[in-house]
Parts: sequence; structure tokens; C-alpha cells
Amino acid sequence: MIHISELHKSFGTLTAVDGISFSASSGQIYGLLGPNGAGKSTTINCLSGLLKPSSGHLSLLGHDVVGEPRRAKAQLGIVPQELAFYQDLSARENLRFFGAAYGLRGLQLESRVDAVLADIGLADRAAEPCKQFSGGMQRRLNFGCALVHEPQILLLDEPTVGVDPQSRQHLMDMVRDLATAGACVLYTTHYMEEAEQLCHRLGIIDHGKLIAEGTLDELRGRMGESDILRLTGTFANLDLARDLPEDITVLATDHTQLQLSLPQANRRLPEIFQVIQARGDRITETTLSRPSLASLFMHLTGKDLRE
Amino acid sequence: MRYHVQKDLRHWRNERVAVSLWLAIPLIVGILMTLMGGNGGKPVAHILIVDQDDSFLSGLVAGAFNQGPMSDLFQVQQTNLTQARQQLDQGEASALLRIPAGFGDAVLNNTATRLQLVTNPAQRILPKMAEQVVQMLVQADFYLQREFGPQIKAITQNLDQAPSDARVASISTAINQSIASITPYLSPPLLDVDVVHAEDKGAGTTNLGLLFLPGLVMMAALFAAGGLADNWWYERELGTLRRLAATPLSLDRLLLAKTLVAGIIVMLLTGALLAAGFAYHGLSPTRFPAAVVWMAASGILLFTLFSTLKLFMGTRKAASVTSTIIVFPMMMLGGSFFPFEVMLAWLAQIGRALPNGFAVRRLNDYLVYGASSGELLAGLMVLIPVSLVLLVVMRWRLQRFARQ
Repeated sequence: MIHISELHKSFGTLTAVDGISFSASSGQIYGLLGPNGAGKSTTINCLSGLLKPSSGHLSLLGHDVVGEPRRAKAQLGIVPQELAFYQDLSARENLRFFGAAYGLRGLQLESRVDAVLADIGLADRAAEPCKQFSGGMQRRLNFGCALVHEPQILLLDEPTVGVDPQSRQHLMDMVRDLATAGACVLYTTHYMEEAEQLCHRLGIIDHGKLIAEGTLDELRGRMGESDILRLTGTFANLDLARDLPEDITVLATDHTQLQLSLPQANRRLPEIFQVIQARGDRITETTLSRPSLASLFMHLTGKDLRE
Repeated sequence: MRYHVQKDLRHWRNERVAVSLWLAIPLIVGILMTLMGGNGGKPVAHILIVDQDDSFLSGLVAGAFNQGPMSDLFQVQQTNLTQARQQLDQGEASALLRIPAGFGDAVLNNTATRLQLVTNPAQRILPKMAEQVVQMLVQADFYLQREFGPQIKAITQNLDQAPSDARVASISTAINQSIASITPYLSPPLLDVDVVHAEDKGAGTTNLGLLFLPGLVMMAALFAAGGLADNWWYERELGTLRRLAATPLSLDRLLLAKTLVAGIIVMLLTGALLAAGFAYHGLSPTRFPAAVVWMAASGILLFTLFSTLKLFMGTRKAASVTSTIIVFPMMMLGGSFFPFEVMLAWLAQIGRALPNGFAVRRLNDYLVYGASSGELLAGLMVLIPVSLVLLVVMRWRLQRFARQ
């Protein structure tokens, strides 16, 4: 459904996207992860026809985004990060407006509006002006505006930013339902747990390049059989790496916490404690876990996703 | 497009404060200007004088317009008949006074003669003032001739040589005797003025305050157009413009809907001001619809102008500041603060060439000087093409603006 091949996009001398390629199929939720400025938004803007790529090929349901923009856009629903709807209008009027913008008319439009109002849980507040809605309700409406025309492809750009846990769960359930019904979803987020829970496939972008791609398990495999060991305590010196065995990687460090990646961590705890005590540092808490997407991201990019 | 129009009308209905200000500011300015300047400044009548007699007495008539307080009201230009006709036809003068050959002799010989005053049909107030002055002059000349005819004749016959002391004494004595024996004359004057109104187009009024009305109405249109054009930035910052740009439908609908809404809102606002003006000045209601349509068209022109400007600005703040910087000189020069009639000629010329000045001038001609609705229609032939050109520029720019 979504196919991107060798996408390049430059703004003057700045290369925002540098040869990204990936595909996503029907029923799949594809997570696109990357720190700010990595090239996620530029990729989404190219895909939605808002930006013209410098080179490369993008198609939606087989329609070339540059060559057949209307056909490609007709299949697409976009949920922007900002609340992009009209505060003066009611939920029903907003849905009607955006449905009409995709060419729906008459009874078809009205029945779709009713269906989406029910899906996003705003049927009983449909006539109220949106400016009276809570943040979570507004997020749901923002999401609903992209669904009125029943798109086969959805682009979700951080749809849960600033959303309360209940509304977030509601939105994630809706995304899952849409994928189950056959939609192809491209999902960008800063929340690793969302990506872990939702996405069937993940792509990690940094400096305009796709540096890793695959299922969560495939990506974990790239870190080998390593575990993640978090140590809390007091650490005077941060140059710990030189005192540790070579197969132990320091993922993050500060004066109160250490994050290490190492194979068979449960068997090697005494060895690590000994090194730390010899340096004069003190450990108060130890946590051992399987690698998460966050640690994977840090392993691949050297920085936290929120940076 | 229906949904686009409904959406924008709803937005502006909720922006009551802004919309009220667009209406209130011209009203407040109008009231303040009236309070500070009385009638808002004295208009000056441009009088063309064709002196075909070139006598002492014709010179007195022509010179009367430059005497004392009348010099503040009249600007006199001596010229020939052909040139005077041309100037009057082009609307560059309020009236043409022709003093026929033989006028001086007729006055002195007590025979009938006529001055001809041709007034500018596009003006109501200033030609009337000239007419009153000429009527007064005619009466003054008549009674002067009746009382002092022989003495004046004696003076005019000796203009080219210095009279003797005895002659001066004789004339002085005769004048003195005439003054002492003045009695009312009952017979009608032989000297008369023939006032010619070139094709009266009707529906005029002589109220000077009416001169301010078109400019104030246009001020409301300018404020409204500037504010309505800001809606492009509002939608861009809201994110809805990008969202719409990602739909398969063209942005042309949005462009046309916003233009239509601008026309409707300007029409409603200026319609309210015009209705008040019509009621206050007692204008014929039959002229109201054409004036309102003209203002809607003018509003669309101003909206497209401000929208084009704002779409090219880099930030909303820059767009707002630039718009404000432009609006006030446009209002000052375009006849919103001062009617063109009281402005310096070269400034008025610049002002009339501005889009709002053009619209004010046509509305002025229609409301104040009785121009026909056909002339407003002819003006639409200018407004509409200019608006269309600006819409094409906006359409081109909007493609990029919406995606940024």
C-alpha cells in the first residue's frame, strides 16, 4: 500500500531525507521513529503530497504521489500532530467539512459522520462547539477528521501528544481496529511503549537515513542476546567503560544511574559489583530487563528519542 | 464550497469584537472629525471665467470672486470658451461664467444683456455657491448702473487719459447728488443671469456632510478587508490549511469561498453604514442597492489586495504590520479622512488612483453628485478584472503558502 523508494529531499544545502526506502502493506502498522529533525516529518510531508521530493519514488495503493496526486491523496487520511480543525464549529460540522473536502456528499456523508462520531466517542457531544472540549476529546476529533472518508492508508504524526491515558488507550485501540479492518497505518511517535504495543514493523530514522528496519524482535536481535542492566546509586567517575570487560556496553551514565548492555547479565552481577565497589562507587538498586525499543534506539543512535 | 462558506461565516460571527471594531472605528472617526472640523473643511469652487467683453465692468464682475472672504471659497481661472468647455466636460471646474461681448456697453446704456453661468452637473454644492454669487453681482451691477450709470460711463470714457480736476469734481458732485436722491426702484432689472445646468442627473443633495460618507464607508471596508485577509494566517497556524492541501480537492474552492465571504461581510458592514448615511442625509432609497453592490465589489478588491500582500509575507506578524502600515496612508490619501474636494490637487490625484480612492470617487459621484448607476456599473468593469488578476496571483501563491 505504501511504497517509498530512494527518497531524497533537500532544502538548499540541507539534506533532510537521504535515500529512505521502505514499504508497508494492508493491515500493517508501521512505526517510524527518530529524534527531532531526523526526517520523519519531511518523509510524511512528501508522502502526503505537501512536499515534492528531490528524487525517489513514492506511491500509495499503486498511485504515484507526484504523478497522480489526486488519486493518491483520495486514499489517504492524515492525522497531524497539531489540532487541525475548526474551533468555531461543532464536532459534527468539522467531520462534515472534512468529509466534504474528500468529496463525500449527501446521505453518504451524513452516515459516515454519524459512524465516526460513534467511533471516537463524541456522539453525545456532537453539537457542541469544539472549543468546549477537553484536550483528549479534541485529540479524538482530530483523529476522526481523518477517518470520515474511510481512507485505506492513514498517516498518524504523533497523534497522542498531550493526551490523557484513557484517551490515549482509546486512540490506540482505534488504530488497532483500523489495521485489523485492513488499513495500512504509518505511525510516528515519541512514546516507545506505544510503538512497542502497536507497531508490526518499525523503521528508525536518524540524520535523514533509515538506520534500522524490521519487526521489534528483529531489531532486538541486532543487539544480540544482550540484557539491559540499570544500576542506581552514587557514581563519582563516569569513565566506567575502561574498567569493564569489553563485551559490556555502557548505554547511558550519570552520577546517579548507569545503564549497561551485556549478555547473560544475571550471571555476571558479582563481577560488575566488584568493579564498581573497587572504584569507590555505591549501588542502591539494580534492575535487569530485556532490551526495550528505547534502549535499542539509544544503542543505534546514541541518543534518547526525545532529544 | 457551501461548507467552506458556512465555516467562514460561522468564524466571523464568533469574532464579534473584531467585526464591531471594523464598523465602530469609521463611525468614531467620522464623529471626531465632525466635532473637530465643523463641516470638515471648506470646499473650494473652481470657476472658469470667459470674458468676451474685456471691459472695465466685465473686469469688475470677474474680479468679484477674488474679493475678501470670497477668495477663500473660489479659485478663479480666466480662459477662453473652448478650453473652458473642455475643462468643464472633464469635471475640472465647478462652473463656467461667460461674460458676453458688449456686456459693459449694455450695462452703461441701460439695455438688456445676459451673463451665462454653466454649472458642472457632477457637482451640487459648489456650483450652487457660484450661482448665488453671480446673482448677487448681477443685482449689484443693475442698481449701480441705475444710480451711477452716467458717472461710470464718464469714468470709463476717460480711462486712457488723466481727467482734469474740473472733470473729477463734476463726477464727484454728480455721485454725491445721486446718493442723496436714491429711491427704491420698482422696475425689474434689465441685467440678468442665465444659469445653465448641463443635464441634471438628479438625486443630489446639498449637504456638505454627505461628502464624508463615501470615505467613511470605505474606511470600514478597508479595515474589514485587512482583517478578513488575516484569516489565511489564522488557518495556516491552526494547521487546517495544510490539512486541506493534503486532500484531493483543489484549494480553489477555499480561495473562492473566502473571497465570497469577504464580499458578504463587507457588504453587510458597509450596508449598515450606508443605510445610516442614507437616512441621515435623506438620500433616495432607490440608490441604496447599487451603492451596496458597489461596496461589496470594492470589498472583494480590497480583500484580494490585502490577501495577496499577506500571503507573500514570511510571518503573521510581518503580514499584520505591513498591512497596518499600508492601510492608514491609503485611508488618508483615498478620501477616507478628507474628501478629495478639500485635498491639495496633486494629493487628490494620487488618492483617486489608489484602489480605495477609485472606489470612493465613484461612490462619491454616485451619492453626492448624482452620477447614474450605469457609471457605477462601468466602474465594476475596472474592479472586477483587477480583482481577478489578484485572485490568480493569490491562487499561485496559496499552493506554496498552504504547504509551509
